Amino acid sequence: MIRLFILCSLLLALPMSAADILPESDQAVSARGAALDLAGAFTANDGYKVRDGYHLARLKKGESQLFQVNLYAGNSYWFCAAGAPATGTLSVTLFDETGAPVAIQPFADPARAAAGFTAANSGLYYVKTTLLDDSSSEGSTICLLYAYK
Amino acid sequence: MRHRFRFHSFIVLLTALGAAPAGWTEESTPGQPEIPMVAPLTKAEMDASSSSNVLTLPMPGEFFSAIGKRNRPDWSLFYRAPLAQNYSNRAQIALNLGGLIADGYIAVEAQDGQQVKNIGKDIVTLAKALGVSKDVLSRGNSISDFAENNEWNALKEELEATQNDVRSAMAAMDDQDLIILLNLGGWIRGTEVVSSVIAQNYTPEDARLLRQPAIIRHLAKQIDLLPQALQDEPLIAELRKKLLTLQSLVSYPIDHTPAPAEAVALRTEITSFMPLITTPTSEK
Repeated sequence: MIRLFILCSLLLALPMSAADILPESDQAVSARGAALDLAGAFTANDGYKVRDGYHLARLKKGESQLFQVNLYAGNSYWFCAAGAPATGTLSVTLFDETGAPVAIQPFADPARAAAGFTAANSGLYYVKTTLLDDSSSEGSTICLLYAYK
Repeated sequence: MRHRFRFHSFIVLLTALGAAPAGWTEESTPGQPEIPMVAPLTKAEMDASSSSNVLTLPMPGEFFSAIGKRNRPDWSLFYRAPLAQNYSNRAQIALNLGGLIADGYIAVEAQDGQQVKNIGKDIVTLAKALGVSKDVLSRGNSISDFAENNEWNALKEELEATQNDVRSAMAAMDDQDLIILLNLGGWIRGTEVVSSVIAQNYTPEDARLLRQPAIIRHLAKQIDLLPQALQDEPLIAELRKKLLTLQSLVSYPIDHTPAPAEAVALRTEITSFMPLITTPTSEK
């Protein structure tokens, strides 16, 4: 019993990263499906290719998640985010390596949002996904992915 | 108003043709590029940001896509001789598997179906040596089919999916360390090719692609996370040392455009990695 208590305490004390430990719950599957659906619009119409990877985060109303990406000068990108349950309002913004916001082409829909960007410089950027509004007090699972060309 | 009407008509037309993005309406279409009215990030926010090997590190295809826009190189010039198949060191196999996936992108850029198929076979062979071939075998078949039908875009997606399958299989076998080396091998091979393209046919726009300070920092940090025994292996210790030398060649201010000599220096340095990675450790 004591061993079990120690084990549980250790697990709770571990630094948790949503990127690494969020399980593939129904909400995650649903959020990923919605994000892929949004990104699919850019692949079907504009020749973008969707990266075969995604990032999951659990956000409550007003919370944000910052995620690092490395972009190449001359490439165009769409960063797409979608949440589940699909009740909230999301925003996606992009910052350069100094933390300054960069010009994006914004898109927002219920429970999903995207930011279009053409990189003038290669390097590190930060994608910020914010859950602006959410009717669920428990928060939503947000999936972020991107397409490029 | 007139503009909105025209846009609305455009969306209606696209929808009728089945081409409008799902859910796009007149009210919710991408706007014009603008800087959002948001506060800049603080250092603490940037320091606390998340990253992952799956999305933070770009795929070689993104790198090649950027260079192919302005100046389509003859990608076939950057093929290399088939790799050895007798590696016994798992770290070395993972590094070469990453490099082979980058080779797959080069063959796709060259639109060379036979070369894609050859590389697909080599990927499966190396994956077998790591015990992850079951997961990759079906990808190998798809790669061959797509190459047969010249489906170049599908091939790029399949190559990334292959890399992710290998990563997942490695994770399932508790081989997280090998994932780091798979990424490292892919990045080294991709940078070798891009720096060679630029060194041979220099343009200032393409040279700006060589700036990758955060990627190299990320990779170096990941190597530091490897178990000490693996870090002490001569191959990994030497690679880490070389990576540090490389850091200054890809890290410079954002407004700096590398001169031709800088592109050549990067190519020379990164090409010197290759024998270390590709020569079987038993032959060194």
